[in-house]
Amino acid sequence: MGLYYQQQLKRTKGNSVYMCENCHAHIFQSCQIVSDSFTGITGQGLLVSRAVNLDEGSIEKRRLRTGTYLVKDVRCVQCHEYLGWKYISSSEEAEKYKEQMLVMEASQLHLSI
Amino acid sequence: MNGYQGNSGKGQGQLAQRFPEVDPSELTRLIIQALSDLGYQRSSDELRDESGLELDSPAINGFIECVRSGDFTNAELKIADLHLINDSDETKRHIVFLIKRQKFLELLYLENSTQEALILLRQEVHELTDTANIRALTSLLMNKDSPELQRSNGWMGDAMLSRDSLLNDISKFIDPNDMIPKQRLFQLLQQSIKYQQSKTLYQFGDEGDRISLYEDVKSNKKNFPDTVHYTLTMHEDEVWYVTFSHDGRYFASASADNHVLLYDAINGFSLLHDLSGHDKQVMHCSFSPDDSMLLTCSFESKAHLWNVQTGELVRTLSLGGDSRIWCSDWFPDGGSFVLGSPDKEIAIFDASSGEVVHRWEGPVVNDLKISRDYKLIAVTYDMNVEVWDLRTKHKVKTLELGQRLTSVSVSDKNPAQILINVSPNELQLWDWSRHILLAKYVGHKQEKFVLRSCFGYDERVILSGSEDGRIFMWNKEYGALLGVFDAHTGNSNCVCWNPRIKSMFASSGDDTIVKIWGPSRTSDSG
Repeated sequence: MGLYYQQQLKRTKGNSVYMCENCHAHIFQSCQIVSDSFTGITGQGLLVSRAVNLDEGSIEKRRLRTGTYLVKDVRCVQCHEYLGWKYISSSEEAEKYKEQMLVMEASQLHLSI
Repeated sequence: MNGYQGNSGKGQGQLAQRFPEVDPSELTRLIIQALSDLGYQRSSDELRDESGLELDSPAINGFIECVRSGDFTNAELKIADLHLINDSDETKRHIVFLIKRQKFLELLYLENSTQEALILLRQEVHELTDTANIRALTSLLMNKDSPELQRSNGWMGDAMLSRDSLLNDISKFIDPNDMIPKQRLFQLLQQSIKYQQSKTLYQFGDEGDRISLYEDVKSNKKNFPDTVHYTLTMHEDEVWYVTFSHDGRYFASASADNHVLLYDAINGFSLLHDLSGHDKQVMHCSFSPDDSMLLTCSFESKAHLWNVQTGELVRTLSLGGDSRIWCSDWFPDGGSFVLGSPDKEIAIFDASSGEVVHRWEGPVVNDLKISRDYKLIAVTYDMNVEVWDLRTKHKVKTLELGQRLTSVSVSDKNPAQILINVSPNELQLWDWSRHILLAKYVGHKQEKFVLRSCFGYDERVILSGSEDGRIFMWNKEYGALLGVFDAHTGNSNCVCWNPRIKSMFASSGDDTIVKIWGPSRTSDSG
């Protein structure tokens, strides 16, 4: 897969960058966090509105606590570590706001201040 | 314009039909000159007689005679008779200046009369030219023995050489029909050879290969490196960087398997050391100028310094905090090296102590190199080329290229020339000091990944990997594609040229393989 030309996120005061724990590729800025009380597969999950340097897997139907969704797993584009999933669509009207957002596994991320 | 019509030789009409661009009397005069240049003065004079043609016009001959014999007063008078290309007072004044300067030089060096030379300078030369020329002559007065000043002021060591050089300088202002430029026929033949070479791009012969005037320059692929000589398969993951040591003895490959392998490049690329110590993928490595150390950069935000001889880890370096380290290079004197980070940092380390001696916050660095004249050249995520002077630590240039720049190499022959992989799908050769794009090289594929390219074959070719696994080779000067080689599956990530063996390069790929390339001859390869 090669050495990927990674996107670099701006790190400013009060806006830190979450990186892939394994290879330190930038994934999202802390200002993109919508909620930190989600649950991932490995523990705490962060709901974020936008992220970079991700490879998206194929769409699959998944039953989660709040309903059934179409989701894609996402991996680090550089090292292919599993990092979380992206919501594609929700059957519940109340959960539609999550569409296009991602749940990122906190344990797979490294916070760079 | 040719006022010295001679006697036409037989058959000239037919020649004129076949070669309408070649004026028979011009050619004859060139032959008269060439015979004289070759030392066949008798034949030259004979041809002059037979053809009735003169090498230079009578006016010019008189003028040359005056200059050669040192009769500068008459030479100045004869300027009025010369056919000048640009017949302005300024040109004439400049020619007078050149003649008076010769007079000045002869006073200074032949008659050892500094006093008279000074008077000449003050009373006659002074009003003819600009202050820069006067200042140069004044400094010569003070530094009579400086060879550089002598040469730059037109003194060639003795009177005859200087007078000839003066004539050569003046000839540039004179209608070439009146005074044929020096060694003109030889110049034309040399141009013809250069032109043929540019049309026949495969000039991969040996240094001593003869070029004959009897036939056109042919393409020569004798040393064209299109064949795999060695396949190195000891890595277990993608290989992202390869490089030869400066003396060509060692070869290193850095891989996503966290290992750096060090090979004996002279003895069949046998493995010398498996440098294991990085916890993550290794993306870059560089040999110290004396090839005793190897510096490697890894995803774990650390650089390692290895002893090339023993394979031992000498030191681990970091930029502090989480700053990633993506690239490195050495000062030409080997006393320091630079680490570059995409986390907006560049730091200079003392090579022996491992201490940071200078650090600056900069742009997001994608790649960097140090030129042999101590310039640090970085390509940045902001799509710029930034150049710092490592002696003053000041930034001296920014080129805004506006495209993704993934890697940079710097020329050894001309340290202002840099080769950049520009995504998508382009290489660019820049002269950063003059801010000029010299050439583009296209054909390869580079859209998503960091690929690396290099100069090769005495910097006559350009080489790059490609995202289709192939390797592309171009003629540097003309940008023409010379070869496309199937090399790897996945990306061909990195290519590098052997600095000692002119026809050897290496490539590395996503397929975990490293290949060493050379000419297709098998008998005396390596």
